[in-house]
Amino acid sequence: MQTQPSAIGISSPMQHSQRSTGRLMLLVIAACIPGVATATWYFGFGVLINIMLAASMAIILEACALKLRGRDMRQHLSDNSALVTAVLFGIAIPPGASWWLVAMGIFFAIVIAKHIYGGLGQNLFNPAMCGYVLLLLSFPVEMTSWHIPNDALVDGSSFSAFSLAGLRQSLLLSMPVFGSAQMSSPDSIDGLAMATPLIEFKMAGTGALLAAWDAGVSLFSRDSGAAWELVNMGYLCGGLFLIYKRIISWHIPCAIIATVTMMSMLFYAPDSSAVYGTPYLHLFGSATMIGAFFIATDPVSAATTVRGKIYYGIIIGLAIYGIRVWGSYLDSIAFAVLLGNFCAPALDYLCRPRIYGHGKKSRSVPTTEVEP
Amino acid sequence: MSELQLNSSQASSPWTNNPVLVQLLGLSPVLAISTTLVNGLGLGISTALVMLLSSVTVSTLRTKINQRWRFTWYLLITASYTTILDSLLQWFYSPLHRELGIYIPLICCNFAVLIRLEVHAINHHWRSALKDAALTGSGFIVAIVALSSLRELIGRGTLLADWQLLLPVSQATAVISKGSNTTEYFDFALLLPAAFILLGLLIAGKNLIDCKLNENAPVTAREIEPIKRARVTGGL
Repeated sequence: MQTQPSAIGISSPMQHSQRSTGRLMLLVIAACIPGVATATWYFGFGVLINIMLAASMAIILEACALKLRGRDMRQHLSDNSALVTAVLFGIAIPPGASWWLVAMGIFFAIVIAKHIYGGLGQNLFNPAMCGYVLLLLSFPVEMTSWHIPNDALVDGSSFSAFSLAGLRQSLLLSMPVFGSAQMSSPDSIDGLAMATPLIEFKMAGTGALLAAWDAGVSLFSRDSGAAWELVNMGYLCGGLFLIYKRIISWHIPCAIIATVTMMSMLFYAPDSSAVYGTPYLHLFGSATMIGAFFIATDPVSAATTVRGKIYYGIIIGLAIYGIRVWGSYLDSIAFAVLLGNFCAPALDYLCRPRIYGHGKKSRSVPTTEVEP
Repeated sequence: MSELQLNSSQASSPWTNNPVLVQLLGLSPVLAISTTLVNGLGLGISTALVMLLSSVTVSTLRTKINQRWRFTWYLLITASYTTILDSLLQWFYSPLHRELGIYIPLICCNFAVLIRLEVHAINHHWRSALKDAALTGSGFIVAIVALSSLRELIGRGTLLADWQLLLPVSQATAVISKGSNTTEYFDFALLLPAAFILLGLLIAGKNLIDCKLNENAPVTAREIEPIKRARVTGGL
């Protein structure tokens, strides 16, 4: 059956937008800047190096894939979607990850999760999260060791992660061919300098963190909880900027944040020994903000109808909380978003808007079912 | 591009009518078992054996088999051979049998086997059925060997590790070195999603080869049978 989107999908009051896809994607990258800058300030150059590596590889791979598929390279490269994938991927993977880890993940994201499905607009799943999940399943040890420059671990030194020595160390970590990075106490830090306070909190339940504190390892020079709050505030500001610019709608982030807050309020028990965590920890001590505003709102793989978006956000929020608290994985944004992507087509089908002038039963028909 | 042949008087070809790469039949054991080459070989050879024996049996008994109950007969025959094979494996190859687990008993309802009985063996002489089953079985073995060696190579970095599992128990003196390899490899390849992705890439590779082979062949219009429907409102 032929689809005829040009004749059927559009009705008369048409909105024109001057913004091209490439410009939209650049704005998304710009909105990441506050969060990335804060993370760099507190945790050193690892995040920036990840993003740079991922971006350069993503552009090369995108160009190769477009060449193989015989598409117009200049037109498709200038939509910058590979850059956004690379930035989100670079933020997600731990700082100090080796270059081959980045290469493998970005290859899976760009070539398998995006171009094999048919390129931008056809991918069922968020490419950046596909790459991240592939790495998490294959290399759990590497993906859970967050390397922090030595100086940041020493008490009392101010802003030392943001220094030349820190830069050198981060570079050596990501490209070990040039020599090995001398980590101060690699054994304990590998397992302990974890992604977010939420994860530290979860690990604390097993006693690993307490043991490390007993051994005299200070995790960060400043209170890591405060640093993560600021990073999340950065992403929140960026997300609000995106909503203000009407690049994303408020439905998905609001639904996710509301669901996570509700769930964590429901299950929070101050005196119980179970690891549940306060709502504040769930919102600002983890990756919730970047997940809700930047990752779940991917315009291709998210739900598109208004009610569909709200259900999509609720599903992701429930999955985030459920996997975090009752699951075995440390943080759950990637799995929750992929689960939401699975549900998105069905949600769009079930939440079709009513046709104006018809009864409650009649719904608009998806264009794929239209008979010519 | 190869077309699925379900009704042919010719014997099946392992390339153009491969049960795994073209017909996409019996995929569940193929995807589940193909983590190592040894497992893949074990399952492939077992399936091919059952296919061979039940094809010959069905075509020998084809005048006796009641048309109406033929699928019951197919299942009875494949199930008998599978049970015999299962017991033999348990007796002579018990470590391999343990590795393959439920997928050996499941051969009896593998549709890659049943489709050969229905399409070819039930109305051909046993020699033709033997040839057909041998070709299809070899196609099955080739496909599962390709997939499982790919997965083992990527996922574990070995090829044909634990090969002594393929020897009868009395001769397998070497100790099974499972889990001793602590070097990190690409674990994802051992998971089921990777099995789907790699099988998809294998099929794509096969189609690519077919394309290259057919590049110089004269283009012939494909005969498309008109689809019969009670009421046709427009062209399909």
